[in-house]
Amino acid sequence: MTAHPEHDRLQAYLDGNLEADAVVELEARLRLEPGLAAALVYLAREEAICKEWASVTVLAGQEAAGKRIVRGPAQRRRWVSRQLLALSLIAGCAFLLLLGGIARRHPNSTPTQTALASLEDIQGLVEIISPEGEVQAGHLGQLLLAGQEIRTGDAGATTVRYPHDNGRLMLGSETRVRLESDTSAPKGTTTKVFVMEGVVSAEVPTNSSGNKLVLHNQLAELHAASGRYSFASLPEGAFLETDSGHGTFIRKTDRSIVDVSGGHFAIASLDQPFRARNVPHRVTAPRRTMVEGAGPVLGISFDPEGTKLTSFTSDGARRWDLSSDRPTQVIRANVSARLPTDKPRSQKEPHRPFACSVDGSVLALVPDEHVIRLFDGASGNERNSWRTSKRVTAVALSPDGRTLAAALSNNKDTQEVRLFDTEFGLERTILSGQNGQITCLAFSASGDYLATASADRSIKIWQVHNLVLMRSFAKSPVEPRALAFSPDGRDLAIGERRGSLRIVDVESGAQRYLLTGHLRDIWSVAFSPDGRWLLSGAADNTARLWDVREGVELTTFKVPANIVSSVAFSPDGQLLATGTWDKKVLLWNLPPLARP
Amino acid sequence: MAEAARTQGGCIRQGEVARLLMQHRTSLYGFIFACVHHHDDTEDIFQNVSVAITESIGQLQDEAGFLPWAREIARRRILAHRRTSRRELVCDPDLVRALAEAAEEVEREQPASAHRAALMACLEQLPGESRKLITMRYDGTSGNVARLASYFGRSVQSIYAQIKRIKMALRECVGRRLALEQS
Repeated sequence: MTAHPEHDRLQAYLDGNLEADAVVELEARLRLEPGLAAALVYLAREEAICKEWASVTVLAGQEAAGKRIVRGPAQRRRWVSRQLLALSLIAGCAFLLLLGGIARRHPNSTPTQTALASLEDIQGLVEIISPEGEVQAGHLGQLLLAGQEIRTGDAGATTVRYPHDNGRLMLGSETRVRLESDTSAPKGTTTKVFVMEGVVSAEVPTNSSGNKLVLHNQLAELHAASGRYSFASLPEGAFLETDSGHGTFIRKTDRSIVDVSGGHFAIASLDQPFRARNVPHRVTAPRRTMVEGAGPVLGISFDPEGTKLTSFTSDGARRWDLSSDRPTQVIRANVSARLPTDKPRSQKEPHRPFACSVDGSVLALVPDEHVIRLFDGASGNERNSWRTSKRVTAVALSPDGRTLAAALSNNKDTQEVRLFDTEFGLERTILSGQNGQITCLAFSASGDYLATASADRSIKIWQVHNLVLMRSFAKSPVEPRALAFSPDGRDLAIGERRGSLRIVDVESGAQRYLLTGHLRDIWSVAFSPDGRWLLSGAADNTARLWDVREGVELTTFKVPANIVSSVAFSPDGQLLATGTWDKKVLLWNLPPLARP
Repeated sequence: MAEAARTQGGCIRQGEVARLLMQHRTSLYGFIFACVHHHDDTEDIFQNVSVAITESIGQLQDEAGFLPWAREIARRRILAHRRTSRRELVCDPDLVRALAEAAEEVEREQPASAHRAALMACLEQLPGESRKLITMRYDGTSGNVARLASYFGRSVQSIYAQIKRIKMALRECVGRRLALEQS
């Protein structure tokens, strides 16, 4: 909105600086002139934002204490809490020594600006955005100024080095930060960064200068000295994990403080207890690694005996005998127009052109956006195929392999789901009523229900036999990316963008757990055969095992530098499989903690 | 099962209230402030609105209808507050209704979430002295402009003029950011 011609008068009205006659005249006009009223509301909104910002902004020393007016109990409480915060900051600063600035000036900087840091180790797309909004590609060794933003793309990553203490900030993919100069600290002693989006890993070396690190987002801030930290800006909060050292984590909404020492993590959000918790057990060495080779592993399925495994890529499927390192059978989809690449073109639009029945008797592949091909699981021979004018965005096979569900989109109308009888080819159609492209489908273990998740953030469950809508869930804040029913069909696990994982009760629609731990988009979820455990794979290079009864994470499986694009349990639940974007299938033993 | 879907499927859970209130706080607070022009009163009314929303969230079937519904609750609470407040509040019912309609129009034209994100980012870029002035102007602990003028050793008119210049710069910054987002 542009400034209203009577902006000054409206501001004076809000400030209480208009004469009584002028107030009466202005209010009479406000009742009659919608444009004037809208300008007033817009100004008032600005006031609201400025006040909110000021309430979470700490100034150097808050030195006007002697000149304060403390008008009421609420203000007094807030004043006291700020004094405590200021005292804690001052105490923290006692450990700091002055650091030297960087002598080199940035070529584009004004004479008074000195560079704060420089860029190192650029991978993929990394952009620098000036305070004026100008965007330029980042380059190795580039000097960075206060106020500049750094943005990484889908597969981008970079390291920001602070020369004053040799500290480093490592930005993961789809991360955006702004470098700030902390006016409350002695110059050169504080690394202050606003994390707008994504994940930042920070290293503050141990040295005698006692430098301080401040990472913050809208809802939380970390104050730390030497150590290693991971800070993620979540849609409704912030995540902090301390590898070593000690971090003070502050929730801005109520200024509550949690100490997070090495081996602990905490989440600052509106709907969770704010406390430090132990980092779950970590496993870094898989039992076995199988190199798929053909492309990112988008899906994995065990056969009913648990002796074989099928991996899916966008050009076909491979059968593996678990005792062998080479595939025993290759089923090619035969259309190679869309060969997979090493890096996702966009993590927002994963391709899921595959499905496998639980009994392994049928495989469905979507080699082309408009073609679905069905294969016999045992022989690998093609059984049937369908061509459609609409784009196939997701497929799923019922556990018995008799029904194939395909989500179709033409980008205009409401999305539809077509159900095919895999033996006779008969079709039935559901108009999903969802406005966004359907990104995933899941059958319940009984085959009675089908869940559809859409890019418009809605999730619906349908009764397969009569195509009646059984449940429509309230839209989640972020886009769902992966679905799985529990074996008894009572729960639905929903993996979402930005790492949130929810378990909802199918009958009531109530959310049972919001599982937090993943820091990036979730790609795949699977329940163990007994329904006790949930495995999730995400773009934060981890798969995580969750206890469904307790709603807690048991184990993190660290995958070396890649996206975990698919997960599966063996039929006896003792073996876990993860497929990665770098064309590997990793097998893991169920951790001892999870064994009966 | 189908019956259950009809009766429970669209309801918003209590646990969602905090998120929705936080999401729409800027819009609601701004509307209330436009009516009562005083931050202490605005805080009081917003608290009352939050309680009323929490108690009656079960009436709301669809999250999309949250803001208009909450604004209507706010409108009523503003009028109720006007009757009970010790301060003389000049907002009359017709004016509150006109501002409520204006708030809806403003929200449609520019959602508060985008406005908030852009302005917050711009505020973070303020240089030292301007940052201090705006913080002290709005954080509620430093008193009125006359007190700020005394603190900064300048005239009241000079402080007003400085605040006006800063806010103009902020508005330009917000405009640039929003244009960048759209492009």
